[in-house]
Order: sequence, then structure tokens, then C-alpha cells
Amino acid sequence: MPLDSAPQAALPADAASGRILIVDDQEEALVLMGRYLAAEGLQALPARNAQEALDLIKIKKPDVILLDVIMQGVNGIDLCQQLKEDPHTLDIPIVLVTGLDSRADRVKGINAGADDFLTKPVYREELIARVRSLLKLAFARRALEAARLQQEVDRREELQRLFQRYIAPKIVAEILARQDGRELLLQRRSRLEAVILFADIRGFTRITEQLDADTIVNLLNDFFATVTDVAYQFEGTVFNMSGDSLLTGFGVPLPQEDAVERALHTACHMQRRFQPLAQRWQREHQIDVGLGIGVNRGKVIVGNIGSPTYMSYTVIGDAVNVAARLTQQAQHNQILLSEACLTDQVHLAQRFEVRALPAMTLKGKAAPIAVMEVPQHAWRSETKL
Amino acid sequence: MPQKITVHVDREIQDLVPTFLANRKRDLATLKEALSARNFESMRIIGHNLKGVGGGYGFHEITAIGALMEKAGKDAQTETLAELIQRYGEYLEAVEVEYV
Repeated sequence: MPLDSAPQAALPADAASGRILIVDDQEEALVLMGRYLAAEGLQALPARNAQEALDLIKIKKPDVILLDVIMQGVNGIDLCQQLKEDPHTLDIPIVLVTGLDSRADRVKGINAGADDFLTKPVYREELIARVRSLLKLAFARRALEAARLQQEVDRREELQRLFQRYIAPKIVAEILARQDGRELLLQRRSRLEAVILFADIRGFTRITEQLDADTIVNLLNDFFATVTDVAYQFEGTVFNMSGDSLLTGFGVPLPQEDAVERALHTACHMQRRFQPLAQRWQREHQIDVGLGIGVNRGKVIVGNIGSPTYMSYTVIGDAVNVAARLTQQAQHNQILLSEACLTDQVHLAQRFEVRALPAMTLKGKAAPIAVMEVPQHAWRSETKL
Repeated sequence: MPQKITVHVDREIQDLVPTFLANRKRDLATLKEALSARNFESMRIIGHNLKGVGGGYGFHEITAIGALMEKAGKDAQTETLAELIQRYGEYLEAVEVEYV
């Protein structure tokens, strides 16, 4: 982008003036340059040594720095190098002020990252021309950086909007704060260990014949609002709402060491939150429904799956199928979990009361699997949760 | 009576010039002392400073003398330094400022 066409809106309010830090231990040179800059409406910040310069930079970030090479203590070249290595100051243009015959200093200055040079004695016209030119560069750099940051913010907001439909807002923010956040959300397609929870309204299909469409949609909206709220409360990822069933994952896309515990809390809270809803539906519509929940743990694949025109953040794998089959087996207000959920989770036995059920042969599975349930009195009890 | 030398100086720095010239006269005294003491390093440093500051204030001759003085100080050339200090003193005597 040509410097003149840098977005004006990004320029600081005092762009016309610009702040120029002059670092020189020769008082007369300092005063002279300050006077010439001030006469042009520029703000001159004088510093008599490297430390004064560093202190001033912290307080008032200058737009351009004029740095004398030969100074007592830390010299101009060393200070230049220090500033160019610091991410907070590396974008400030630096003019090294050198002697007429100091070619060696110029070479060192280039290596130290200096943006330009001025020869002593410093003449007014040359000083102003150099400073003005570097001010343009500084403001253009700043405008480009502001535009880049804005673009980054826009991209993050877009991703946030997209993924907040599936993932708890706190988790989305956490992911996007990571260096690999975008990649994690958009491209990662690895096999992960996850806990999968299905929540399905038992008896709902039967009643869809009895109620009008508006009522059914309203009931489903009530249901999904309630269970999604619980899923987000325990930082689960909502992968799918289909018919009267909700699919939630824990430990994906970010690992959660306590994924099983989160899933069990979610199951219990969903049951408790669903009860008043079911009672109201009974009262208002004379329908009898319950909530069946199935929980399973295993390897899954997570990713954006679909066509270029329709993508969906999806979880697939046998662990998902087993959770779905378990849910089909769950009766009204029952939480079923596979034995895999509690493998290596001894501590959970102290927090959740579970009861072994007879092994079940699930649809599509040759061998029966060990199944447990969280009894109703346990998930209804406040103290156990 | 030496012939006057007129120097044109930016009006913007008019108020700085008296101090500048007073400092140059102080430099002259220091240079003379340094020459007596054969303190070449001191003369080199003053020469370097004169070179860096003279022309900026409009006094190009000070920059020219300073550059030669810096080199002579570095090379410990007593005679050259004595000549340059003499030339510097005469210049300060003869210089007149006109603000433009």
C-alpha cells in the first residue's frame, strides 16, 4: 500500500504533530534539534542518555527516535539494537545520528536495525525531511497493524459466532486464545478420547400425532433450551439436535481430564431440570414423557464434515453409536452408562451412586456390554451431586 | 582589527546563539589549557563536539575546524593543534551573526 493511501482513520489524533524522541548527550545538539522539530509542530522528547530514553519510551511511545551514535554509557548502536529486539519498540523507526566520516558506524547501525541516518552537524531541512518521511512510515505501519488486528478480531468473532452454536462460549474463547486455536477448530481431525452423552425424550414421537405443529415446536424449543443450557454449564460441546434428541461430547475438542464427571453431572442435572418441564407439559397438554440418557466413553473423530455449502461440526465413531444405542434402551428418566465410562475412574464411585444392570446386547453389537445406571434417587438427590 | 565574518543564522534559534557562542569561548579556554598540558584526548573530544554542533547552528567554520582538530588530537599533532586553536580563537573574535 502506498504510504499516502494508508487509512487515515487509523492515524493517531496527534498525527500532524508526531512525537520525536531525541537521544543525545550533547546538550547543544539536543536543544537545537528539539527547537527545529518544535518549529514544525512536532513534539520533541529530549533524553540525555540511554536510560532516560528507555524511561521516556515506556511513558510516551514515540513515533520516531533520533539516536546519537556516540554517547557516554550505552552507545546509540547498542541502544538501537536493544530497541529493535524488543517487540514493544521494534516498529518505531530509528534514525542514527552519526559523524560525517563514520562509515563503520553506519554499517554497525544497519546491522543493529536502524531505519535511516543523519549526519552531524544536523541541518534543519534535512532533519525535518527525514523525520517527516519516517513519520509517514510509522503511521502507515500503525495503520496496517491496526487493519491486521481488526481483521484478526473479525475472523475470531466469526469463528466464535459459528462455534458458539456447538461449544460452550467459555471453551470457544479459551480455544481462540490459543496459538493453534483456529487450526484446532477448523482443521484438526484426529481421533480423540471423548465421553458422549445422548439425551432423548422418551414417548415424544407418539405424541407428535396428538398435538399441533406450533405446540410441538414450542415444546422442543423448551426442551433444547433446557438441556443445552445444562450442557454448556458443564462445558460440553453440543454436536447435534435432531428430532427430540441432543448429542453432547465432553473432552472434545479440548481434552478435559474430568470429562466423565462432567458428563455424569450433566446427565443428572438434565434429568432434574427436565422434571418440572415434563410436569408442566403433563398439566398443559396431558402428555406423558420422560428423559432417557445414555453415556459412553471411547475414541471418536471430530471435525467439520459436509460439503462446501453445508458444513457441520460433527462427532463420529463407534463410541457415539454405543451411546445412541444405550439411550434407546433407557426408560423414562433413566441414565444408562457403559462400563467404559468408569474404567480408571475409581474416585467417581465416591461421588456418584451407580448400580450394575444386567449386560445388554445393543443393536449392531454381537457381544453384550456391561451397563450401569445412576438410580433416580441418586440424581434427584442434591447432596450426591 | 580583524576583518569581521558574517554568519547567517536561522531566526528560529536566535535565542540559543548567545549561549552557543559563550560555550564556544569556554571551549577555547579549555583547548588552550589542554594544549599546554598536551592533553590530546581532551582536544580530540572537543574537536569532535565542535564538528558535530557548529554547522547545525550555522557556523560551518566551527565544524570544519572541529573535524581537523579531532583528527589532529587523535594523531597527537601538537603543531597542527596549536594552529587550529589559534584559527578557532580568531574566528570567534571575528564572527558576526545575522539572523535570517
